[in-house]
Amino acid sequence: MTVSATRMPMPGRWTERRREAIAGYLFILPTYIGFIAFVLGPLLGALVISFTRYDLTAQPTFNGLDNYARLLTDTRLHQSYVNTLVYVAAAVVLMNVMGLALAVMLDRKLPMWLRTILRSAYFFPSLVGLAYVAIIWQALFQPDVGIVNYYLTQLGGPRVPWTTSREWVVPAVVIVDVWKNVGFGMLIFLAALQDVPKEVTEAAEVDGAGSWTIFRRVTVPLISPAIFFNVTLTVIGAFQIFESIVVLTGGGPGDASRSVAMYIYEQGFQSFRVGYASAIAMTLFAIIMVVTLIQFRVRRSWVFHE
Amino acid sequence: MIDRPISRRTLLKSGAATAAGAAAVAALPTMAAAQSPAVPQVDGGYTPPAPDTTATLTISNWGDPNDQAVYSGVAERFKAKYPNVTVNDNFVPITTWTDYINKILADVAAGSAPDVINIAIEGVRQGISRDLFRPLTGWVGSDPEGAALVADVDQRLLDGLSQDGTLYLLPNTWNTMLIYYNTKMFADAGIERPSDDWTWDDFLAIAQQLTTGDGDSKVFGFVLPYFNFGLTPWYYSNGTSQLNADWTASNLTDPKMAESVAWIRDLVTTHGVAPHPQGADPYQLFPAGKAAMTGAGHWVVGSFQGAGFTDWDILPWPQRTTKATVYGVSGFAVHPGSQHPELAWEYCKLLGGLETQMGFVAIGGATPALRAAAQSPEFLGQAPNSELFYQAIEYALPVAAPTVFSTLDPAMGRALDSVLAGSDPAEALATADQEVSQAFADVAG
Repeated sequence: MTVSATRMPMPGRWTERRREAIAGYLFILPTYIGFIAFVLGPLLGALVISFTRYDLTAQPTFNGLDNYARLLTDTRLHQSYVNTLVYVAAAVVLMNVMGLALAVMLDRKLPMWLRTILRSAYFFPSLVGLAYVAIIWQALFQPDVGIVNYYLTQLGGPRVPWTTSREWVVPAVVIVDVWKNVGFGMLIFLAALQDVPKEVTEAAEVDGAGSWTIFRRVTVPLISPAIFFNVTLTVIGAFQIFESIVVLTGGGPGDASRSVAMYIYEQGFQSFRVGYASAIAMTLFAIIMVVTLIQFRVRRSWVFHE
Repeated sequence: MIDRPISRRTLLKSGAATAAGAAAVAALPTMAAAQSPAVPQVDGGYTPPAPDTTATLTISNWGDPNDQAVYSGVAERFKAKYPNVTVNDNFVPITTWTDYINKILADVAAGSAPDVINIAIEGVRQGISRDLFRPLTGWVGSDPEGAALVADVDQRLLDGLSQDGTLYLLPNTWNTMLIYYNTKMFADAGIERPSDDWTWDDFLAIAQQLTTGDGDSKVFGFVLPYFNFGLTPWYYSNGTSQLNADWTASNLTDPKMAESVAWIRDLVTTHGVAPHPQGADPYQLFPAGKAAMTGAGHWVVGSFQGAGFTDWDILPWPQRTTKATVYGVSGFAVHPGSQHPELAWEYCKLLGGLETQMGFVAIGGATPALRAAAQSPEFLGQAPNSELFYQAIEYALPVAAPTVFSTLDPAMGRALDSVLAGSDPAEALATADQEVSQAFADVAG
């Protein structure tokens, strides 16, 4: 085969355009294969299994809507959903407000080295494995000798039973989860803030706007795509909260800090009720999908695109 | 909470509890007697396999390194008897008994069923319901060696390994819960050894007297063995249980259950005689002199000896309405799909035999099931009042180990945690009750 032969424009299928298209498809093929094999396939599989009774050893048997009927009366599930909604609300508000606040503090005239140190310090928790730092957090939260309670009582506060009482265990999980993830949001906000053109804010300043007004009327609209991105991500992430709770409290005491994702895992892989676990997973999937669709819908009213 | 890995102690930690409602406690022994596998007449018709038999035996086993050493001794003795038989002694880490059973079922489905299965009472009902065990009654009736082993074991231990009068497992070792107390601390405080029929109130008074100090010098009167098997005596000695008499339904809404759970909580909160169980390992605090009493089976004796701790003695569990405690037993079964059932049975006899039992005595583990081992000077010489361990079977009831054990055990754990965190006992138990009842319904459906 000669070079000229391959260069020859072939009529029909082998036009340059076609070839580019095929190359393009080949490039995205791995992603699609991955999506079908590891996302869509299991999703459809879980949907089918959710209508069966399946213990992993015997063949699944069809049991209609039994699993879905059970969702309505399962008080442990209801408790897990209440906990999860609290996590979502707390995580979305705290992570985004604090992430933005940290980013604004860093987006000012600071010596380069100081900014690097602070940025790394805030981002660092996102990098370390939670399983390791959970041990430290448990020690910090220890009711009698923990540092958190030491300072609380020094300041005249009460001795808080962080992980052993029903009232305080959810706040304890929220603190650890926010600490863990706030740096990631901060980094995205910071990148967005640094992209805000200086001329625009300076123009506003010249026009007599105060710094709060500039922030609210100029900066926030300009970084609204980053806000949208962060909010969407934290909502989805918070609905699936799992690791932070497993390592800190194991879902306890009782079910006081259990999340839906943990409950799905327990039902599926500890109690071997795979059909029921799949039905719960379907409800969680549906809720996350609806919430995300709503977010995309209302996005038009507040997210500013240049 | 435990200082060495899986051992017979696991049997206890994972152990749930047991027996029956108030009336049921009284009724149970009768019922058990009615169901007892009457040791059949031995007809001597059994012929053991020829010594030159060639085969491979697979054992589904579990245990800590000390146990493994005892079991490898069994494999060697078997090899001497059957030199052409290869033994694969597979040790499986136990997370839950359901998980262990599922692993065996997966092996069965993959065509590599084990010949011999070592399992504890918690997995027996579940194993029987999944056809994992071949009935042993035939062999026990025709093999004088097997009959002799069974005859030397208390009937109640055999009951724990039987269903509807059929024996499925040859007993290994067993455990019960007794109160361990620090003899030096009792003497220093001028407290006499209480009678064997002491009550909850006697217990509390002593625990209060022995709770002293503050901060680093704090000493507690008691430290809770905070796992289902260890908490169960508080239910049984109050004349109640997590389940009905035949283990087919939850009894968690019995007010006496709530009363027992409130009592456990009050030891920590109202009375303050026991530390919060989180981070309080009874088997470190007690030998360290940080707690004057705790509850345990024989399994701690080896580690107390190893630590040079000798200032202790044992007492039966205190009673409220009933003198009662809990027991759990493990045993060896032959899988029905075994290609060499007679060889597997021969192996089981070695596993459950006197030499193996004495091996467990030597490592200071659980109580041997054979009276010959439990009455040996080696066993009785290990601790003061050692005879109380085997005698406890007279008033002990089996740990509640229904087919839905893997639901019951964690549900009880959550209920207790929740109560210690401030929930109402009756409410927490109602949640557990819903879960356990649903699991029973699932099994039935």
